[in-house]
Amino acid sequence: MPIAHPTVRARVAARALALAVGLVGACSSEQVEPPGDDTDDPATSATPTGNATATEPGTTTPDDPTGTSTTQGATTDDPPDPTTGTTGDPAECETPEGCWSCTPTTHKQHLNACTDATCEPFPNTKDRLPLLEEDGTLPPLP
Amino acid sequence: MSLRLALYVPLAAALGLTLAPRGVLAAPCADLPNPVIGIGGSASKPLLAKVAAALHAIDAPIDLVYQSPGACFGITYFVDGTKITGTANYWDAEGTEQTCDLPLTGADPDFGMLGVKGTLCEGVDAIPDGIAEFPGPITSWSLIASNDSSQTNISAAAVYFVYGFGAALGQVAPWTVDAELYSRNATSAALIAIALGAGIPPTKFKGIDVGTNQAMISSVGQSLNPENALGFVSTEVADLNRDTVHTLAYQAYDQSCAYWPDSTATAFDKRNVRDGHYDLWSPYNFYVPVDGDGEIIDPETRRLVGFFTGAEPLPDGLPLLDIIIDNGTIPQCAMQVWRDEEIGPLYSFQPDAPCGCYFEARAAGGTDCQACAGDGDCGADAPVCRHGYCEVI
Repeated sequence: MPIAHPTVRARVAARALALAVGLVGACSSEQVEPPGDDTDDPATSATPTGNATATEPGTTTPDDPTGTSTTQGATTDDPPDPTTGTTGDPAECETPEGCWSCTPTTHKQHLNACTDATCEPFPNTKDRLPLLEEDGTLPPLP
Repeated sequence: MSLRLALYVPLAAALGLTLAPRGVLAAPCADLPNPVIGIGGSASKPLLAKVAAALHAIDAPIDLVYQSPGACFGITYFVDGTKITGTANYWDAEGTEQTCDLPLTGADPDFGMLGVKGTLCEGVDAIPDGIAEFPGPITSWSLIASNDSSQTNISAAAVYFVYGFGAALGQVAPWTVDAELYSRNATSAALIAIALGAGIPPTKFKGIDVGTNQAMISSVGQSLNPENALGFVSTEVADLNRDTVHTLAYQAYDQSCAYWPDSTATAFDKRNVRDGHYDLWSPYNFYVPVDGDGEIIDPETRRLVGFFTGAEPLPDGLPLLDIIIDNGTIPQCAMQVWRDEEIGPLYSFQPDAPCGCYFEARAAGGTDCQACAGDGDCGADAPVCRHGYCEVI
């Protein structure tokens, strides 16, 4: 069936504008976030930690001295169980590794869901991205 | 056509002219037995080439003709009502690319094909009345480095600085050399998608416009300063060229780790696209003239697009699901997440007739799903036998 066309451009423009004004929301130095995303996300205030603090490209977690790729959270032998009665509370669903172990229901939770896929954190730090603002937000484009 | 988009036309025409070997007159496209003419981006050419070859083997074969000046031309020609001219490609039964001449007076395209929604193209405020959008297979977008580069990952924020400020001004090592920052123009679906992911207005995207996906592969893969070189293409094009370039793992905003489209850097399973860990993906969209009931007007185009959407039964000789998977693209039936706006919020998705097990078996070479010959072989958790595997519904 043909698809209706909502005001995509308006949403895109709003997102770009939100970034251009410098990401007013509070952001950690490890995870740069555009404002306006996941405002209904119960996990927004709980910044995943763990291996996101790697300092050099190509390296991974502080507890991974080999510098090889890592995985986040559960493996196929240890899958997250969405049927365990969790409430979606970040305290209950975020693992120490920073992944989301409950059934994802928001964009951010999908992006950070526990998986046995290989990943490598990119450090969004001032060392790696010198033009980051002191508070970790993005400056407007020139 | 917007003024800015019109500025891209000479470049597109120049690229089109290079498709025909010099000194060789191509045959008229209109002389093909049953031509269906499309226009759009170069990202989808590998897929269309495979489909076009198979279309010769079906009853009432279709000659798929495609011109690829840039994704946004797949909608702007319908917006402007202009005709396409120059040369186009078609493929013989062996899949060999051929060139034909469009009429000097121009031809009306039967369909446009874009890797992003047409309304994201500059000058397209709305899809015109009488044109409908039909989502097709899913492609993902890869930021790529040379295989002689040590770089393995990148973040949306890094892309913001590199492509938003320019390599030198952006100061994200090692991508600090403007001459090694390869890009496209704002008619490119890859550029639009990556710009959306990073929060850069497409028209502000920096870098050297190399024109096509294949030129991007050459520019990055053959760079004399490979550590500094950065570019982007559709993932299926990157996959075809893993001997020279590699896809960088990508970390979206709000994401704490960078993922490849596949479960590892060397796999081909597209698992991270399918489950939402890899953010840079979008469906190919067909744009086609329709009647008042939303029915595609041209019967041959209706057949062709219908094969992709499921509106037409697949004929013998057209293993479209296998072609899509083998191409490195993803059928909608294998997706576990979906989104309603380009690079927008993800949500869980259950296709009407899931094919995730078959996808894994074919793309990754194996699956944990149970093989079956009929529903009776399947258990309650995955009760339907589809394409030889027990699926959830």
